[in-house]
Amino acid sequence: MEDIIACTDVRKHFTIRGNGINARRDLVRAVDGVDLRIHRNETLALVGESGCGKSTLGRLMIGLLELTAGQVAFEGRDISKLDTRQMFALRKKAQIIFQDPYASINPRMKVLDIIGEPLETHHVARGKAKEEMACLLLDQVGLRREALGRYPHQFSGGQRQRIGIARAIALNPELLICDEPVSALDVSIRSQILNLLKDLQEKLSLTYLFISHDLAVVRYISDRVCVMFLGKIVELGTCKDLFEHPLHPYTKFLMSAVPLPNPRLRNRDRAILEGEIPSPINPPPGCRFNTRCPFAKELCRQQEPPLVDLGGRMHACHFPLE
Amino acid sequence: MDFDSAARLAPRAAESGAENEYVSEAFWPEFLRSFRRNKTAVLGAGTILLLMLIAVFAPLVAPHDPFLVNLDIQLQKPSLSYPLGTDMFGRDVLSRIIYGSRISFVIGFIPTTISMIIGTVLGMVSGYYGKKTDYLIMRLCDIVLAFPSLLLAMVVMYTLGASLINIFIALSVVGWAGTARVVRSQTLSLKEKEFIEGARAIGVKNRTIIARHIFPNCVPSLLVLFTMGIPAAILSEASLSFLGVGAQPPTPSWGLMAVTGKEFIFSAPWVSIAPGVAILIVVLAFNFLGDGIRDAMDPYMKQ
Amino acid sequence: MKPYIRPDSGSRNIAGDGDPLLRITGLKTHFTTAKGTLRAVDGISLTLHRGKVLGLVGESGCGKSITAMSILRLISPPGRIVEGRIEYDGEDILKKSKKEMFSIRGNEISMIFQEPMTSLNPVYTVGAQVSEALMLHQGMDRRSARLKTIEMFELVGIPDSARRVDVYPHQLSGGLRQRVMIAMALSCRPRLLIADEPTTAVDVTVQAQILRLMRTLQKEIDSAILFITHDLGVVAEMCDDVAVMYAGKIVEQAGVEELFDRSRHPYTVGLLNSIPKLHQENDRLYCIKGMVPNLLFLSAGCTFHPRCDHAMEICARREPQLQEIEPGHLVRCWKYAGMGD
Repeated sequence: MEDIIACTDVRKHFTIRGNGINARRDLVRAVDGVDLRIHRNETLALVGESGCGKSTLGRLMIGLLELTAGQVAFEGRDISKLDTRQMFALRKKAQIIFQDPYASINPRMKVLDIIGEPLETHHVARGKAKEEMACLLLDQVGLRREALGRYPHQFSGGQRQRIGIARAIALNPELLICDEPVSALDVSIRSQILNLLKDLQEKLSLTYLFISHDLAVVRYISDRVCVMFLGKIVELGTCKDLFEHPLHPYTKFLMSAVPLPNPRLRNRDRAILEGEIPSPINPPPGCRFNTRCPFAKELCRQQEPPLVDLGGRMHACHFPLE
Repeated sequence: MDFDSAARLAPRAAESGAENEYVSEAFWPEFLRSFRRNKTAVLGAGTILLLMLIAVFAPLVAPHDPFLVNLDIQLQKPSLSYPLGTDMFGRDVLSRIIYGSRISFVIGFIPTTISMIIGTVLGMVSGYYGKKTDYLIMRLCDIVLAFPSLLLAMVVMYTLGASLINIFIALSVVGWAGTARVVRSQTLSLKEKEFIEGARAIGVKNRTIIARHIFPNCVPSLLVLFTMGIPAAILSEASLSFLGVGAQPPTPSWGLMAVTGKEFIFSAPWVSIAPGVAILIVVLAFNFLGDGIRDAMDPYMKQ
Repeated sequence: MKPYIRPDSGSRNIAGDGDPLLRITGLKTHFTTAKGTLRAVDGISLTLHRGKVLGLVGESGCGKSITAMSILRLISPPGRIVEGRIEYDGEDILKKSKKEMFSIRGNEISMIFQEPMTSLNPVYTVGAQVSEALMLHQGMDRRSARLKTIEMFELVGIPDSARRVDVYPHQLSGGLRQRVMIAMALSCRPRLLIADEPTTAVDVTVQAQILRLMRTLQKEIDSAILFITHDLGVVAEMCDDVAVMYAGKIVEQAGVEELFDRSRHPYTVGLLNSIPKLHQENDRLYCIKGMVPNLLFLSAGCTFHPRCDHAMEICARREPQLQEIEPGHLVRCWKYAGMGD
């Protein structure tokens, strides 16, 4: 079975113009050379801190943003070579759910229209049939039929997120990009939504690209994890492998930084990463992590480490931890 | 943790979300309630409603024919049969004001509507598509806004001739730029919202996005702009008529009435002052209404 | 206004060493809205001793931030503190005059907010904002305040501090801005620091740095911290005692180890069970059913009972009171009513 997504040397650069008379044109290298494959029916997590490019990469994969360089192949076909009609058809197969439940659905539309929009746009159903399908979708995400006639502001954050999920699965997609879907929700609601996503994946044979900065959530829901830093992949592996035997120092520091809900471990022996998160405008030469890495050696400052593939387990470090 | 294992089973999705739905009010009831609490706004709304009724039922309300000339009773002081007196042609001032309200409302609504339509469309297109389109439209906006609007309207009137239709055209040409600016900035901020991205991810066409997603979210601001634009239009027309390039006699336009009465300002002040006060009342009423709408909209927007 | 100059080391300890620095009794802060009274804080009692960190945990709308604002008397209409005592150092804050409050805020009691971007004034340099507090409360002149500011910046780990005093907030990253906030809050060596979700808006590696910094500084300055958060991991890292809030009330309170080992209230237990753990495989997360309540439509009886797996008949009728079921461990739940009597 082919991979659902195959990225080859994907790059996305943004130019931002400074203000004022000495307007510099800065180049933000949001994604700077990513090779990645997403297997069918898996949940692949993209993990990283702000500026690492994970959200940008997710959007590049479904064509919401245009590539600066490189190639994204969806089910084997290069998406930049698709014409408008084919791109339109692609929309049925790949959808996205967003982080902010308050901004991700149109506050002026009834829930029926929000969920029904994909159905109408792709001429799948309208009128009564649309209403019936919308009902079924609501049921799948745990909302009642009465919700159809209501407006978003009459719902809580968790419920709005369910509406967003219902909209995303309306066309029975194969790939769902989940961009920090629980980060903006209350803690007691997160598990509801995470379990919902798990159930839906099983029922509808979905593939997830799960973007998050929360490692514990990622561990719960993902099969494989991909750690990103400043636009590049630094490590990739199955959950168990990566979390139990991290190879890249950044991964280890990310894990050690997570506050654990066990007060007895608070004085545990762990290294805390120093320094600020660098900006993707001027990445340091050599390995991008070298300015923060306590293990950095001369080679790290000069040469960028390649992404080494050890049979599915990958890392980009000259001196991996194991 | 001393829980029995039954409690650990995650409840089915259907149980875990739907109960206790927020009974948060829909937009309009909430809005009306805030609005009603604002006394001046309600006063403004009531006055406008009353005036609109008067305008619609003018033939029934007006005591005399506004066009009936009677040189025997020129410039009569206000009396019982002529509550606001008569003008220089012996016409009943009150009846002329009543019929003039029709003109004022028409002047208020039609050019404002036209200019808002133009401004909204251009503003949304400019804000959504950005880049060159945005640049061109905004420079056009700048040009229009830089012109003193009254002069521009006068130029249009001179070119096309003085008539009511031409007043509409003149005021529309001048008025769209402010709306376009506001709508553009609204569009820019809406464009970044995730629900627009969601619509694009579904494959909705750009023009549908603008119509279905952007436009309805601009409606609150448009409502405010509309109620503020009407008094501006009425005042513009009054000024144009005052300058002689607006409505022509014998139209009972309030502005025209004020200017023709200015010769008699000391001998028969009611001829000029009555229409002036009428303009004042209508403009104030719309201002109160507009302020009230904006204030009632505000806490909702903050939500 | 003559600034109130307080010497560095603990001075007027009117309350005496063993007494708590902050004692809140029965605090109620209500908001009058068109739809009814919103009981944001509905009867909170807390004590905080010098040098200790008390965690106030809860989700959105539980009232934790309002509690903090009430302590500093920053509540404005339509909100009002309707009942309660807040004793700081033995004196009731709610009875102090405006002038006295001015000398307390930023000086004796400081606050760090969640969003460093909106808490810092974008048109003044960060140095000026920190110096302002020093000049106001410590009576320093501009030059000494600037020197002290640079010292504070070094203390909080801002690199290149001499230069950074003159930059504007937007030129700094989120982590650095938060450090500036900490420097500002600690500049007058407050005895009580209120930190309202100070690390929610920063990345996880920066959060770890900030938390470590706060712990170090807290020990050095010997401040007490009221740490407000929704993140139980952060609570475990930072706090000595924890109070869990739900719908304006405290539902459980205990020492931090006791709370994590032997939590009782179904809400606390539910929360702990529903968060995914980093270092173990989780089969299926527990879910607390239902939604975070709308404070305008609270259920009768125990406010948590609609979501509770253990709800009994009495839970719908009467509200349980906060009871000490073990020394130092309080729970507000009918299941445990009668224990510890």
